[in-house]
Amino acid sequence: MAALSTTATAAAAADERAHPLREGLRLQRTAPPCTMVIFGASGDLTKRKLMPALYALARMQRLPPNFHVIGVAVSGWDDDTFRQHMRAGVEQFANPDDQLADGGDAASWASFAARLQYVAGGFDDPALYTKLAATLKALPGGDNVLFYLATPPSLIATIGDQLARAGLNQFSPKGWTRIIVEKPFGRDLASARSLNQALHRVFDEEQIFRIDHYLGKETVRNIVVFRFANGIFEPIWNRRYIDHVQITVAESIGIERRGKYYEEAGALRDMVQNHLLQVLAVVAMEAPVRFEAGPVRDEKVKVVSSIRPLLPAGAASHEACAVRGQYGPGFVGGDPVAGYRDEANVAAASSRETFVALKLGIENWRWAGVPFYLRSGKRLPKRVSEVAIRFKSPPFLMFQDLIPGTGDNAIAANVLVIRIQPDEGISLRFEAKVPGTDMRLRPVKMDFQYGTSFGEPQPEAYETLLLDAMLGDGMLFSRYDMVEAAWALTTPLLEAWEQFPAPEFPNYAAGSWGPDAADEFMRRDGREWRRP
Amino acid sequence: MNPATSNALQWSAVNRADEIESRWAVLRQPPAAAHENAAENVHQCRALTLNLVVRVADAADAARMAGYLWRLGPRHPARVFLVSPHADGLHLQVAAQEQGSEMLHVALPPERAAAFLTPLLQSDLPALLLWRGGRPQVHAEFEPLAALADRVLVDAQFLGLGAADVAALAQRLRGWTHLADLSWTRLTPWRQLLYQGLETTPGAAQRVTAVTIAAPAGPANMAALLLAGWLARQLQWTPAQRLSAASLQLLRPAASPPAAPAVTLAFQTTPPGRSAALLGVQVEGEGFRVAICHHGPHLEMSVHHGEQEIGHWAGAALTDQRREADCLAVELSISGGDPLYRAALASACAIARQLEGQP
Repeated sequence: MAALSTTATAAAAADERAHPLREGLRLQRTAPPCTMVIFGASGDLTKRKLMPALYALARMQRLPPNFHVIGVAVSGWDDDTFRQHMRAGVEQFANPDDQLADGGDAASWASFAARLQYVAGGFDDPALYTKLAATLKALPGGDNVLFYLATPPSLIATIGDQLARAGLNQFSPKGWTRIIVEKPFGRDLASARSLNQALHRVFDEEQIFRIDHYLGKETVRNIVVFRFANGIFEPIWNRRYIDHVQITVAESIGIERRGKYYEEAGALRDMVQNHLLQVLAVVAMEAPVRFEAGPVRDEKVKVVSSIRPLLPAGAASHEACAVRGQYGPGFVGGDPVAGYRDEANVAAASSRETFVALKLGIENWRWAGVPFYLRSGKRLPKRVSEVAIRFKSPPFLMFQDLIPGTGDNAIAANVLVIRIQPDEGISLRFEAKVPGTDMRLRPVKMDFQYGTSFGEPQPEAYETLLLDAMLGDGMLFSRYDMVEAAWALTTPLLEAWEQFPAPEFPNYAAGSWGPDAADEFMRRDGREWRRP
Repeated sequence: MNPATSNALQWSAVNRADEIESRWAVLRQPPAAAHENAAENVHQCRALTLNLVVRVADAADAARMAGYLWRLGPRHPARVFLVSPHADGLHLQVAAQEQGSEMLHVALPPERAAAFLTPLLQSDLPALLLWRGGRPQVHAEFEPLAALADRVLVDAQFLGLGAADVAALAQRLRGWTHLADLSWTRLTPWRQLLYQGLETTPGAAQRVTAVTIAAPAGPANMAALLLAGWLARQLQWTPAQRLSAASLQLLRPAASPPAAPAVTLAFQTTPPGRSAALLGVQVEGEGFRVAICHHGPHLEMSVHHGEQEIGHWAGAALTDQRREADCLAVELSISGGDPLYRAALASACAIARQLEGQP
């Protein structure tokens, strides 16, 4: 069942767009008639993310009139209870434009709520799937079904098998059946492969959409446009002109009552294996032959597969390429905060990392010798995600001799920064002459602010991703081989860290930029971390 | 108060044409105290996206357009020229947003307008002429202003132009600039809903038997004609026979299901006083019906299979004012010509001729 068929996907997508009245409506992408079945409908993700996103799509006329949602969960709710909970979710979490407060758009909500239904039952109970099949067949929603598993990963195989037993993995030969799976996609290479195999037993790869909301962020999507829609950057986007790349995903929050989860996961699994490597792939990949899911995903897999192993055979330790950290007590934004080991559901002597810094080398012609430094951590001074491309200094610094005091370090290298969040935008630092009769140089930053430059409301990542899944566009979703390539890179390091717990933990104060070892790690290369 | 930081548009008088650029630069400056990035030496990009020349109808129209474009400024930062004809000398007012548009209201003798604006157009950016000054054919300054623009935008409904007038105008501009019409822009949500409604029934687009379009002025309504023209063009219907002054029969292509090869197209004239471009569209076929209408401030669609309603959609508020600003916003983000509009216009002209009994 696991055969890849990007051509078939493209053909299906083309068929969906072939309606004669669709021509010219490209800017208003709309979903075809379908029913979305959400497993885990009483959970936080459904209320917080999925329902506000679906409601926003409905208000933007992106959903067809016969679009329906069936919520599935163990809770003994009925349709009305489900609708009330979802309304509460929209009221609390929707974009301001879609808010229902102050008697907002009552007709829109009523029209949307009428499409919500609820089916209660245990996920391992065949009777649930019989009931679900009957509900689906009774809906005038056509032959297309999108399953969304907003459930723990441990239930994915169970739900998949039950769907197959009920014949719901191929709901109708006249339509499509797709499934969206939430991260984490496994906890190491072996479990990821096992999960992929479980899914492939019942679904073709082209039916599976592994969602990583980071890829739906506008600024991440804009990286591809920035690189490949402008002629001036791609010629210098290589080892000849770039000194190194830094990718930072910093969070000021701690683990937010998720101690149990985080003790199992840690920063490397939670952030690096998925979000940071996905961003790296977009920054470093070659130009795809076409802007379609298959070619784009091929290039991303290629680049991640080209990363030098973190623990090459025979390496004595990982310290040359990785630093881990765990926060102790400290101050964030002036407020005292507890250390990781004092958080609820965290072991008193936990050796789980809350900070990771990696040095990655991509072994291909474009990037050989250009280090990619990745760092991510909890309880850092601010919430910021960015990619910083530091260019090489000019080969000959003539100003050094001309102007007293303008030594090697006085001229800052050009840095191109792509800010993913917050304050989305792109800035370029370059040297300029200070006006005046003297020759004085000063770095200036040219700053393009994504939000204020366009003033366009940015869709939430889930709005983009749900619509893409309904349209069969998998470009922003992880393919099985990308997931496995990312785990293949990170699993040896995970195993080494689990085998040798860090005796120095906690090794950074909450509110700092991570452990001293991370700075030392850069100093050894004659570089330093940016202050985002 | 610095107009650049105010939510309200505030004009600043300028005496000389060469003061305009420098006054814009001053108005765009944020207050020093609020410039958090000053210490970091940050120089923000001025993200202008186009030159927009608006030939307004009168003073009230100038105020309305200025208000719309000021609000659209952060989303569509433009160098905006509001041009009013004025027989006596040159009167200038400028305004600018810190993050948004630069605006110039210029009142001057019409024959001087193009020459005055030429040096002020921002280089490397497209130019759009929004013509609201009456029927373009009778104004001598229309062609010189259109010659500055990559696109000319009219509102056939606002200007009282018929399909033949617009087609003649497009023909006149062809080869050197593109014509766009807000009457067409207004149809986008209707087109979107029709597509979505017909998509709910496999093959429905090929099995349509009747279309009814309700609009003020019926078949003389430009939006109604364009919608009919678009449907006919996209579904390859050809006008065959005039049934009345407000209805005709069209033929479906030979490959369509043979049971009913003809489509009846009817225009309903709604009472005056409703300013919406269109009030309703109903498309019927064998076993299905898609109906879209204004319901209060909303646009609503229902889809029926036989007597069963299989889907109902109610949209966000579409007040007339919002529609106008929204349509402008859409047009400001488009560059180049729209072949679909040109084809729909040609088809609309054919339908109009048939309704008028012309060959």
